[in-house]
Amino acid sequence: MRFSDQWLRDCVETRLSPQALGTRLTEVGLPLDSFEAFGEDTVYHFDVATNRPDCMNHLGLGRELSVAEGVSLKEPVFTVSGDSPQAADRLASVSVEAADLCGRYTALLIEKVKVGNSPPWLSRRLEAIGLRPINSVVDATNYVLWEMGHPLHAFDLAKLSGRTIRVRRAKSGERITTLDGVERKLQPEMLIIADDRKAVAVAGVMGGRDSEISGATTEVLLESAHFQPASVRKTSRALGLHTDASHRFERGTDVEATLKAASRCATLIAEVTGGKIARGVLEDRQAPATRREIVLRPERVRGLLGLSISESVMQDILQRLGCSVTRSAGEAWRVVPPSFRGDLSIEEDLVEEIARHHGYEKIPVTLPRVFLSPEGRSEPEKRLDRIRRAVRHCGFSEALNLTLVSPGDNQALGDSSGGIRILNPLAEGEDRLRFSLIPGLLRNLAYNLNRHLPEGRLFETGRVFHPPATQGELPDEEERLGLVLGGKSAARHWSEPEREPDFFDLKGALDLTVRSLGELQVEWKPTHRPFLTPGRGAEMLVAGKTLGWAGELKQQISDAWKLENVVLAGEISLRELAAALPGDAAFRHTPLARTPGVSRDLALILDGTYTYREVEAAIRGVEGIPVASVELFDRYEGAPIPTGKTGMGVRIVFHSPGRTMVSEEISEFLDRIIHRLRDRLGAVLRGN
Amino acid sequence: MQDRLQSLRKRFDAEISAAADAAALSRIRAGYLSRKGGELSQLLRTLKEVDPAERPAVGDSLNNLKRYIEERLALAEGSLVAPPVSQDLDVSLPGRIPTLGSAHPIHQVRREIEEIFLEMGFSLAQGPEVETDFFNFVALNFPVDHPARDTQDTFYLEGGLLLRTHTSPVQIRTLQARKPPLKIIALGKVYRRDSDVSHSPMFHQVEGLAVAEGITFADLKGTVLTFARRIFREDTRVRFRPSYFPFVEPGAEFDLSCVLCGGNGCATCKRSGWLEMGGAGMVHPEVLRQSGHDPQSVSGFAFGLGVDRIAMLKFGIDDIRLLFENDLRFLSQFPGA
Repeated sequence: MRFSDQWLRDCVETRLSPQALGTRLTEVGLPLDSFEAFGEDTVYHFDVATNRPDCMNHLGLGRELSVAEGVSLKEPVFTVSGDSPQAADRLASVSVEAADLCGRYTALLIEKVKVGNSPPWLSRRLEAIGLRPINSVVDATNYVLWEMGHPLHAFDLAKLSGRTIRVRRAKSGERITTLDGVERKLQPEMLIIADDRKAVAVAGVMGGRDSEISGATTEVLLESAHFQPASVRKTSRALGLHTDASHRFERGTDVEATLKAASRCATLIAEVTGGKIARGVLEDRQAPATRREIVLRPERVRGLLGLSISESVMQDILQRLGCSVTRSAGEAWRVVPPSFRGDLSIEEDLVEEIARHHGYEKIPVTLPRVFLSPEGRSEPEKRLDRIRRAVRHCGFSEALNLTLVSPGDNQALGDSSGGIRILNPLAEGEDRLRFSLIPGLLRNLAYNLNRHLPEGRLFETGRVFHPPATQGELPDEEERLGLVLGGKSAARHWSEPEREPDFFDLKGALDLTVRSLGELQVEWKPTHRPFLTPGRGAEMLVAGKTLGWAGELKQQISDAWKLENVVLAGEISLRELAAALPGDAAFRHTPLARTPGVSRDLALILDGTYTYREVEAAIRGVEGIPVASVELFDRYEGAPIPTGKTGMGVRIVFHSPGRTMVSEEISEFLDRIIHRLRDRLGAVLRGN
Repeated sequence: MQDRLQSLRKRFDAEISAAADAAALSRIRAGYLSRKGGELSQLLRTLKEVDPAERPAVGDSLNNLKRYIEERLALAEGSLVAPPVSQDLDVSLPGRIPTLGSAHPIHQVRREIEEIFLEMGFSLAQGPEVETDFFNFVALNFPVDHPARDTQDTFYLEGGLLLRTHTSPVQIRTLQARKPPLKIIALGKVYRRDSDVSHSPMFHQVEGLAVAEGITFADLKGTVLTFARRIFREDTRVRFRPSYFPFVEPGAEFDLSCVLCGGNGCATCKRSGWLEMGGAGMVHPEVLRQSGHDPQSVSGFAFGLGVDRIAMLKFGIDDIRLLFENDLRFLSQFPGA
């Protein structure tokens, strides 16, 4: 918000440089953003918080400075001359028909005005704060708004039908053309100012064009009212019309200030137009007198701040701020804040007033004397840390993406609805909540591969969003792990041949990650998903529960993200993973074998339709044989193996705890296994 | 006997120092250790002639000397350059290093922040990213149709829901679920309709809340100062300025002395020496009351600050978008803990 240095110095005597003045106000809660020269003047930009409408003008800001610096405030001196022979109530009338939205409506009349340009001093002031001078009457109302903070509006009295003002709610279908030339449709809940025929202003927001001040105006009705903040805010938002007046009304104006502001402004209008102020005031006030009394306990001030501060200092600050303070021995204080400080209503508000003018820097620095048994990280948090570490050990770098995506992103990963919608998105393509981590990761992969990296491995952990079962309930936020892998060649050592990354790189990473949480039974089964290449997708199961999927993305998906080579992706639910974990039974080690195991290799040839899982299951399924482990060490297709067949080299370790096995036993075990493989899978030994 | 052993050792030392090649070493080895003619082997054989009372001590000495000679010979043999049998191993070739992925800088800073507060006795809390108007605004003393809501640039969803604009709803969820005394922090994603070099529509905040009997504004200052010094530098200063947030009273914003220039003024702090860091204050009595706590018997402080900003300052990142672009050349600079 802009302020003029010269204007401010008219309100308060200070020798502070602009920089020092800004620092001082910043220290009491009115932060200076910047300042710059403006002709002979200096313009400040202060950020005035929404709870301090009283500081959105030069006198108000000056008042804070006067309290901070201990100097006096110089309020404008004026006397309402009332030098016109005419009595105001014989020239016009005002009435409030919606007292719930307008507690007080005050009007003064100025006759015989000659509307022209404002004098240079007035125009310069307005220009300094960024306003365009319009004419002497309108400029005077703007001047007083920026001087005292109360919004005013001037009507051309001759244009008001019936020479009357009625403050009422708009009628259904009623319309008004506002000062900016736009015709606006009014809603029945909006408060308007009307004459006896039609709307002439949107209360607290903007006047109407039909009754605006022009060069031909001779009689002015000057409005100074108090409107209900929420009503002005709703109207201003509904019309998309934000003005200096609405900005202040919606933050709360001083109901006691209407006459004072009107008098000041009428005096100024008379001065700059040569007009005469009619005798008397037109007013309809239904709001009760403002008087808030706040109980203040000095020990509460000290207790809440942790500061030792004397009662006389507290009292002095409050009084300089315009509060009346009543103290009687042994009792709490009774403090009545000034009417323009609508933000002061409870004891803690006064604590802040005292603290801010005493200086936040004077409050000591201590630590809470609260002793709690430390909780540390929770199990799910520790688990997430381990998971993230394990994925990184597989060479995946951690990404962090916006959770805002496009409907296309969600649809590509199987959410036909496109996902939860954002009603007021900031950008196209960021109007849905993500349903999967994969689209963001694919964007990252494409970004990196386009910069000529041979391979990209990225992962992310974060929430995805599922629509709530019932409208209005919160969506289901599910924590997931997503991985993508792609590029021309997998990370490799110079001693190894170059190869493209494949499914098993991804599967291995997911296996290791899940196993970082403990000895878990992990299974993989073929699956079909609309976004995976048929036959190249798998489902990951832990303890029989499906956690998610992994596989090669369909060509059309990789094309959509402009990815050239095969892209592998996988996504698992960390919530499902947590649910699949065994209970919190303490981990125990397995005693080491004291007798050696015996290992034997089998070279099998079997029909290509059988899976390794079936081979292993068949071996382990032979009853009464102490199989310690089964490991695939080779897999081969093509000559000399017949077409349609697969060769598998399997290493089996037998181990019988507590005793050494003899070779006759081992041969018998192998025979039974070979029989089983032949019976179940039609497997034969290579070379036989 | 012991004297003989001493002189034998001296002689061995002299010989091995003079040995220049493998042939010489092999001669020395044979001279001392060979089973047939080796001097030590011969001495061992004479052991049975020694007085039985001295025999164990002499035996030990003999064995020690034998071990000594074996070790020195092994060392000397190892240090000799073996004659080139084939091509040398090119030890400058890269070793097999498993590829280690990096941890995102936000997550690194997140962990660091959490560790500091855990050590200060805070617990970790969480809340949903999609919130109701009640938790994001009403319970935090932002009335309906109040202009303070304008500062929040909210994303709205259907059904009256919204994306949380700050982590402060976690204050309410915590106050509803737990009894004071409590000290928590909540770190997570928040959303505002804003995007430029220093703003992303999604960013991260950390919220702190301490509620107990006798909590003061001075405790708030001490907590923020302790944190700032641990996360940045030991000489960091904190400046509290009065400010307005509907859910705290008294309210404040706090600045840190610039972590880059130490407060002397640089481009990062726009020559002011200070960096705006976050908002704070004493929990508003209405917030306590709404969650079922008596503001006359307990008090509390709350603060919130930007995690992304901390990461940017710590790592010298000047464009927030770099944090969400996920360029591997950028990410791989953060090996992580």
